[in-house]
Amino acid sequence: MGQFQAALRYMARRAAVAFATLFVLATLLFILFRLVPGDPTLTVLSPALSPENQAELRQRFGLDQPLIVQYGLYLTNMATGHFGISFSRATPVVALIGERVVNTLVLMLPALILAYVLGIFGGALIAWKRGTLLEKSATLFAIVFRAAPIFWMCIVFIVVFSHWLGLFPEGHMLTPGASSDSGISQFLSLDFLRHLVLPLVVMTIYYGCYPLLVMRTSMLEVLHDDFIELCKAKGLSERDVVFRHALRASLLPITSSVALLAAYAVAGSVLVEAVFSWPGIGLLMVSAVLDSDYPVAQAAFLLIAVLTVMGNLIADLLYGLVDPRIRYS
Amino acid sequence: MKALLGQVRKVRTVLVAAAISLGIMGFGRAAERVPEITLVTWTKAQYPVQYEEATALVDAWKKLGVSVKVEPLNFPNPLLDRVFKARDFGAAILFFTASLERLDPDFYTFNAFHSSRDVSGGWNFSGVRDPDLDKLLEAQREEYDLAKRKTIVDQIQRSVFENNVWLVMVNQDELEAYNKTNFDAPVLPKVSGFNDPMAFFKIKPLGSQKIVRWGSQISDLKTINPILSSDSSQVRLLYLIYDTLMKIGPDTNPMLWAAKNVKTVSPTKVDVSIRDDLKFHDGTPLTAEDVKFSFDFLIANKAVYYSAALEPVESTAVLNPTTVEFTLKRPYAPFTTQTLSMVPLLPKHIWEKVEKPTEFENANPIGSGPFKFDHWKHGQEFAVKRFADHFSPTASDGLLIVFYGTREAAYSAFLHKEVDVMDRLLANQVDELQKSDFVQTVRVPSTAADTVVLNTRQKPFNDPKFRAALNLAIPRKEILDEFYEGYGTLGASVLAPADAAWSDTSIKPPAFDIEAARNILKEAGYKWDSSGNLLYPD
Repeated sequence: MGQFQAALRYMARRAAVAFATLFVLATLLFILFRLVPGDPTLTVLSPALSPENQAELRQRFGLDQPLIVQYGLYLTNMATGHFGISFSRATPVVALIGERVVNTLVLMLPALILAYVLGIFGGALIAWKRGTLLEKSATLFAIVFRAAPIFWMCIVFIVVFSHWLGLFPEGHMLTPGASSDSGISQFLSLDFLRHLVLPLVVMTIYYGCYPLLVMRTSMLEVLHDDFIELCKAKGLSERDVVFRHALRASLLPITSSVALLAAYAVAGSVLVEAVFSWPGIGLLMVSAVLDSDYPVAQAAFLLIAVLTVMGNLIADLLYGLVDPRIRYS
Repeated sequence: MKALLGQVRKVRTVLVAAAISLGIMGFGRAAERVPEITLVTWTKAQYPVQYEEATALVDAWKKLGVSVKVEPLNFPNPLLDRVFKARDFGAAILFFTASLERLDPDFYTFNAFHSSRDVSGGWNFSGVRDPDLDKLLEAQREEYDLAKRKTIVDQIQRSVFENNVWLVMVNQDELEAYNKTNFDAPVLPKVSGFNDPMAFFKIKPLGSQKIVRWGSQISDLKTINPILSSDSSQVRLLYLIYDTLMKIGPDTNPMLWAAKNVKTVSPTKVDVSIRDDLKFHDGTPLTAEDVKFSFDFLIANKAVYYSAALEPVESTAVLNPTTVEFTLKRPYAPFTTQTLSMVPLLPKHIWEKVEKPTEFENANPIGSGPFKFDHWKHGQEFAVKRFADHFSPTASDGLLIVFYGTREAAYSAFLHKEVDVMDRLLANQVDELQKSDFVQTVRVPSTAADTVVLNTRQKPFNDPKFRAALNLAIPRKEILDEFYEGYGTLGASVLAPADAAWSDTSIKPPAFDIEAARNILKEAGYKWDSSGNLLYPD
């Protein structure tokens, strides 16, 4: 009972810290976007925009209010889940982001899942096969790919697989004009899968290197533990020892990285989406920043902040589940 | 001895007086060096050519002893902020795209040089304030007679050219290509080619591909609500769906479109009668009521893109079901040449029910234009279909605009026959495309311009002689040949030669002449120090 209460208290404290972090981040975002040079009323270009027009726009965007009032409105909007209306499009921010997030997720979730599954089993495998050519080349491969910038990898893949070999399309999510449907059904077509392959492969390799390397190190340590000897002594096959016992025990460091890498991947999607013209949240962020579209940019960045903070929180809480030895205090 | 002392004192007094007067005259004081000037330009990633032009200017102006700091800025922000609002620049390379709304001379004259436009957000970047010029600028606005107006506009162009505030470097051609096995483009409008919706009204399918696919370099359309439209690349797509009373024709002359007749009753009264076969895409007839409503509605809701064109409108009145009378606050010649070809005709029965027009998505836009809306997948594609009941029906079945976001992506899609039309090509891409047998490349002389804008609010740009010297030290030919492979013309007047109706072609591009430029500076009293740096006149 005492342990349960301690766990509850711990969770409450962590949640409070997470909430405070988000509040500070939201405030920073608000201030940063107003510090960056750029006036949303100036993206209306042609023909000559008179000062009266600018004043009108400022009023329409609520930028004529004192900063503190704008800030209050921003916080209230956030708390109620209403992120306002985009400056440059008449669309509510929530709808705009919701639509793009789906496109980002259909690419990123499979990529992250594949990255972790392949990374974990691959890492376990090469730790087991330590000293072989397989281990050496896989480690080198992982280090090289992890160090390479992701946009560069995207470009290399496009050049090789679509320019030279002509196997896959160079970008976009669907062949232009293939379907006028914007719903879920568009993700079920073969055409979509063809477009998905290249960015998915790049992201899987890129994000898979980290779990692979972490898993390898963790496994190498575990494989020297006494209980492994015990398992072997019990007469278990080597495969069972590695994949049923050692692998499970090595998962702890990976757990904490899942949530973090997921948030990191959302931020990294900006680059992948830009190269592959993938209509996701990343491309939206770029155009929102360039257009000084504060509501959209703030909400998009806040989304990443929320994902990062929540990721951390979940990782912390998962720790106790994965490893019963961990005690909350 | 005393006499000697007195003599010495006298000599000393004389010497002191001489020294003081010499001091006042400035002898012995080092002349002030002309400081390093800031040249704002575009980032290499966004607009490589404009960035390279800046480096060419650095080299050329160095030969005058002027050192230049290049400051590449991202478009739209912070570039617009610095140039339009803060006016925090010495010189800036601006890249003006060709657009139909900018063909009326009012845009590049009144907007750019009238003192009333020297305000935050105004286009008078240079800070020109010249009462005589202001009078001419106002006069051209009031002159409805085209020939008389041209005479005034010529005077303005000459005056602006000689003032050396906007140094037009090149007017580049608009380079485009289309798939000639799929389509024929018999009418390609001068100045803007495929950037004019008219090109898509006329393009003809040759094979089974009946829908034209256009590879667009923008990453998405932002809005189809005309009240919110903000720039020309967005607005021109509206004209696929919405009719206007007039249009700028393929030959750049204004032509009647939804209007049957435009009559200037008096300098402040214009009567427009419309065709009687106009119909909205939902089947409702378009009447004079809709025309009146469109103008009133855009004015009342302060539609920013149209506000400058609509500002002179005092009131509108329906005279009969096909005639609307416009009353203007003052004579305004661009009303018939520009405003009437800009304002989209909106269906009153739809928009009058919209409660908050500035927050209206207009997700299913109904217009009366040659194309009707089909679908828009944000960040991916925008599609319109042929409207068979239009008075000038299109030859194709529709248009699919595919958003690629970058020129390279669109170019590659064009090569792979994923799209049929591509605009704004680079010179080397055109050369490459000419080798493909399915491609027809097109070269349209345009009003696009790369212009160095000088900020006369700042030293040394407040000195006309200094500006004149800079203008002579622009390697126009080198810029045109090297960065545009010769696809364009050397810049001279602010109204490009492609704007045939208004450009004063007697204004010739200044020849690149460092010697002449240095002579101008020398005559104006500028000097050079021992290491060749330019010094202000004493």
